[in-house]
This record gives sequence, C-alpha cells and structure tokens, in this order.
Amino acid sequence: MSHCGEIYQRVVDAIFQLLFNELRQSSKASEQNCREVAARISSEVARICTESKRIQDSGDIETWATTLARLRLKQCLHYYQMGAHRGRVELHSTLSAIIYRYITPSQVPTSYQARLTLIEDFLQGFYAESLNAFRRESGMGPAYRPHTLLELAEYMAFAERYGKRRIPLPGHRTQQLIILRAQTFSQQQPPETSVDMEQAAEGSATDSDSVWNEATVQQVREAMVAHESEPLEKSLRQTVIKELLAYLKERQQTECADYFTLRLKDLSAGEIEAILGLTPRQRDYLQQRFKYHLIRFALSQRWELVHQWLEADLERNLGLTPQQWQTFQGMLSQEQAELLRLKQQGFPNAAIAQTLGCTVSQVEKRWFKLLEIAWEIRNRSVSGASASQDE
Amino acid sequence: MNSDLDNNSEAIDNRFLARLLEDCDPLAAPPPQESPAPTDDLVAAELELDALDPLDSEDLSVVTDHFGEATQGCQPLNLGGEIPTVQNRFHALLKRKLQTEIERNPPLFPWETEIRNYEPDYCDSEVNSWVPLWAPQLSNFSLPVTLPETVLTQLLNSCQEAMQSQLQQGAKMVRAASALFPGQPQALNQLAGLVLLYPTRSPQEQQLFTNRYEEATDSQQMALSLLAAREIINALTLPVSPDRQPVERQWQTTVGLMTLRAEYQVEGRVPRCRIETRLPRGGRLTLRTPQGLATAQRTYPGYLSVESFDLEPNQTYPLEIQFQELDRQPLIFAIAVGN
Repeated sequence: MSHCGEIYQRVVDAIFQLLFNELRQSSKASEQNCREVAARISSEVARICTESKRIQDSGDIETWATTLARLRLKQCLHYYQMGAHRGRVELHSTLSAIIYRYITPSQVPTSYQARLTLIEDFLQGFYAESLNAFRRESGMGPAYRPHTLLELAEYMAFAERYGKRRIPLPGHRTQQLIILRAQTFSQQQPPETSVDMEQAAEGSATDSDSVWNEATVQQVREAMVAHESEPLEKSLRQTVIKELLAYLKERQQTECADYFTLRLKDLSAGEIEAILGLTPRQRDYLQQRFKYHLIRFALSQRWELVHQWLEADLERNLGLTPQQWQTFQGMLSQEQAELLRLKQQGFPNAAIAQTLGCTVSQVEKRWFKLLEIAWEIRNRSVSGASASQDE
Repeated sequence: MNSDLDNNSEAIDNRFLARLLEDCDPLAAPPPQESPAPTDDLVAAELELDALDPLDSEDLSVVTDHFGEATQGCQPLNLGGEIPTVQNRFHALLKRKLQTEIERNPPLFPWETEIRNYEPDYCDSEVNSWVPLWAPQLSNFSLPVTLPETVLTQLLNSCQEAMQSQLQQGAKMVRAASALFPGQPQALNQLAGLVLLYPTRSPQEQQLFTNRYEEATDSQQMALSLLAAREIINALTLPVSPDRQPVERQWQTTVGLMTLRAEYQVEGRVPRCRIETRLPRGGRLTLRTPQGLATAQRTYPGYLSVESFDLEPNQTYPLEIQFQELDRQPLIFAIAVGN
C-alpha cells in the first residue's frame, strides 16, 4: 500500500508539473484553471498507472505515465484550439460516424435522415452519461459542469475517450462503449420511458417485443459471422478488399472507392445517395462504373488473388467440378486450350505471349475471356439453386 | 474494352460483389442454430465496465509506438469483420458529410441551453445569471404591448406561486402582479376587475395602451402586467374534472416544444389523474399531493407520464417539470381538479 502510495505521489507530482506548464503555455486559461485541469489529468494518469497490471509489470511506470499524460494533453488541447463551436462539431461528427451504422430505426425503412434524427437523440443521452462519468471519475461532485473553454475542452476530450473505450465481451472480443450503447438504444427505443404512451395506447407489448427479438436475432447473426469465418478465408477477403480499394485509388476512382466502402457497410441505395450527394441516376452511373472496375480487377488485374479467395484458382481447376471442367475444356478453342495449359504450368504472361506469338495485352485479354467462361459455368450450377444475388 | 462488359459479366460481378459483401451483411449469414445469448453480452458489458483495465480504453496506437515490446500480446482484441482500411475510409467519408450538417445545427451539451462563448476564466456571476429556459413561451402570449423580458420573467415566477393557492383567478392575478407593484393592492384589485371583463385583443383594449411598456402610465403598466399574469396562469393551469375532455397544453422552451395532456377520471370510486408529456430533452416529471408523489424521469427526449389516485375535487396540485442537467428552476403547472 505504502509502495503504491509512493508511486502515486511521485507520478502525480511529476505529471502535474508537466501538464501545468504545458497548459499555461498553450492556453489562455487562468493559472488557477490550468492548475485544476492539470491536477485532474495527473491524478487520472496516476490511477491508471497504479491500477494497470501491465504498467506495473513493465517496471517503467514514469515513462508510461508521461506518455499517457501527453496523450491526454494533446487531446484536450486539440479541442481547446478548435474552440467551443468547432470543437463540438468535431466531437459530434466523430461520434456520429462511429455509431452511424449501429443506429437502426426500427419501423421506418433505414434512411440517412432517419438515422440522423435518432443519432441526435442518442448522443444527447450519451453526453449526459459521459458528463456523469467524468464527474464520477474525476471526483467532481454531481453538480459540476464545465465553465471555461479549457474545462469544456477537457470534457470533450473525455467524452471522446469514454465513447471509444473498449469493453470486453465474451469470446475474446471487445467493442467500443458507445457502439454498445447505440445498439441498446436502437433496440429498445424508447429506452427508459416509465410508461410508453404509444404502446399503452395500443394496449399491448407485442410490437416492441418483436422489434426486440428481431434485433436480437440480428445480433446473433452478427456474432456468428464474426466467429464462423475461417481465419485464412477472412484474411484473404480482407486482402481482396484492401487491394481493390488500392486498385481504385491507383486509377483515381475515389468515388468508386467511396461507393464500395458504403456498400461494404451494407447501406441502402438511398443512404449512399444522401452521403455521396448524388441523384439516383448519378448513383446508378457510379455503380456501373464501379462494376466495370470490379470486373477488371477480378478477371484481369488481380485474378489470382480473387480466384484463390473464391477457391477457384488454377490448382483447383478454376473451382469447377470434374464434369464442369470437362464441359469447360470442350468449349475452348485450340488457342485457348494452349493458353490454359501454359498458365497451368505457371509461365509468366511475357513468355506465354512469345510462345503464342502475340502481345502481352492480347494474352491478358484472352485470359480474361477464358476466366469469364469458367465463371459462367460455375454460375450456371448455382443460379438454379439460389436466386441471383442482385444489387 | 467495354465489349468485355457484356451480359455475362453482369452475372459475374453480381456474384463476386455479393460474395465480397456477404461477410459483412449479417442477414446473409445462416440463421443461428444455437444462441450464444447475445443479450448477456450487453449485460456483461455493463458489468465489466468497472473491472476494465484502464489501458484497454486507451487508443493504444500512440502508446505502443513507444512501447513496442511492452504491449505485445496486449493489443485490444479485434472485432471480427472490421477491416481497418474500410473502417477508416467509412468514418472519414461519413464524418465529412456529417460535419457540414452539424455545422449548421451544432449540438448542445447537457448543461447548456444555448451556444455561448466560453471565457478563458471562470466567471461567477454568469453561472447564476438567469437563462430563460422557459421564456420563449412568454413571447407567444397575445398581449397588446410587448412586455420587457425582465417583467415577464418576474411574472412567471410569481404566477407559479400564486397559482398553487385556492384563490379565484382575479385574486391570483393580483397576487402575481403585486410582486411588481408592491403596496398597491387596491389599484391592482380595481384593475383586475376590468382586465377580467375584457377579452384580450379587443378593440377597447387596444385603445387602452400605448406602444411601449416603458412609456405607459403606472396604471397601464399594472393593467398590462395583470393581463400577462392572466395569460401565464391560464397557460400553466390544467383544469380537469371527470366530465371534461382531456386538456392539452404546449410550452415553448429554449430547447424545444414541450407538450402536456391531462386526463381525470373516476373509476368506481377511485379518482385517477394521468399526465402525459413529451419533453424536448431528458427530464423529470413530478406530481405532488399531500399523500404522495408521482414521479418519472428519462434520459432522452420523448414521452413521459405520471399517474395519481389521490387528487380530490376543488383542489389544486403542483406538477413540476425539470429538464435534466439544466440546473434551473422547474416549471410548475397547476392541476386544478373541478367537480
């Protein structure tokens, strides 16, 4: 205990001095105010250092403390320099972007505006919660509220950190606190009305139950997806996505990359239009443009990666069953068959071009065509079983 | 090149895209066979907040730059399905879009009623200064002359007190206005009789007054204050009785419109009064009777209601409304139960 107390005191003193000096230099706050804020930050840092087993084990408590203190100072001054108006816009947009996808209007079809309205309501509650947490953790008493710009900045930095806290979940997963709160809010809307008027008016709780159940089911599914994917398959998919984004960027197709990002987040066409500021027609063009690049990427540029991920690489006969493989081979011209054979033997395009007596780009085009045929055969077998997964 | 993009390609890209997207689409996953009890996840999350290693809450990227080895194996666990590249791009994209809108309509923090400049230093007087949380409604009243805000504010406070008495309306008005004109109860009483006779906005009334409150004579000021008091008392009174339709009120505040609805019924022999409100932000609703207290509160904007079974005929009961985090005086309505 006395050892901890000693550490605590030494850290508090050193960190306090550092923070106090920095705040004096970088803000216009009064000396007294800088003192108060510096004291709060330093005691929090000291608390972390004494509580964290990881830091205790490292044996270098003071370096940790300094790093943590500087990190907090930086966050606080970041908001301070932006001021009361820009700072809150920054905080609000940061938090809104984090929770956007987790706020799902229950009865209304998901639209950008509908989500925004709910986010607004949710964040109001979140600011109250984080103010309470701030009061509690800094021992400020239940009536404290920020008065000066520095205190406001301190609160905003805290609210951001608080929202981003990682909460351990079963199954070795973690999730950010604000996302968990947003999910709860979204599922149980309205959250804590003592009597829900609309529900009371209808005289039954069935409706809200079914909404809740649906959300639960969705959550289970999400968890399943997270657990089920094979690590290798998952990392391949990540590579494909990363490379596709890089590919689009390389071709200055930023809009396509944005579109793809929003699609990956499972947003509706309406939301995508709202976020990208496009008309439905413009979005349709963008979609076509994206598809064009997607195909080039999948059948030409990075065909090996994509086919490996789809378990349809050359070693696996392009993912075709023996019967399909036979059909496929039967469809090829002599030239195509030769190209396939060379590819199977692993010759680079330049060598293949030489052998076939054509240019490298011709080899690429022919290979594209060949992969297309294989793809079509694979598709035929599944299109009967499952309805086409259309856009 | 475009010739490659024929109908076949359409099927190809749909399938490829669907495959790319399906992993992140929860609905595309097979239905669950056995439930890993997801609700427990959330409950657990609530419980484990206190037991959390404070370092896990840090954005460790900065810290780990300095402590590469020290934190090995201690990285925050990654959530399945999230790809940092996509995540960052998505957040940046959304944030940019949101910023332009939030710029136009910036949020208020719990203790604020308006966006003001924060001074570099603490200023004591400003904290106690009256922030007109309930004031916007006052300018909605139909009065022949606009009253200064300070007058209205004082009237609002004195009306809320006077209303809780069992006095007649005229006497309540006089009591409320006497806060502004102390020692002149007789003049006020006389004027109250007149004011009660005249409907607001009548032609006669228009002639009674000048254009500015400050330029009006003493008795004109008294009459105007009494008129304002009448409006405030009417707005704050919810007259209920078993044979009356539910009564509704609206009140404009600095944080938005608040609505109220009061209903009184006698079922069997038990009187039942139910108040429903919609609050523009989180807050608390309290209905007091000598026998008990009915109260409800919520964190977010939305509906809130209380019920009481103690209300008796010919009595008046205070209904307090207070917004969360705004350490202001509550607005007190009067539930006036008739026969």
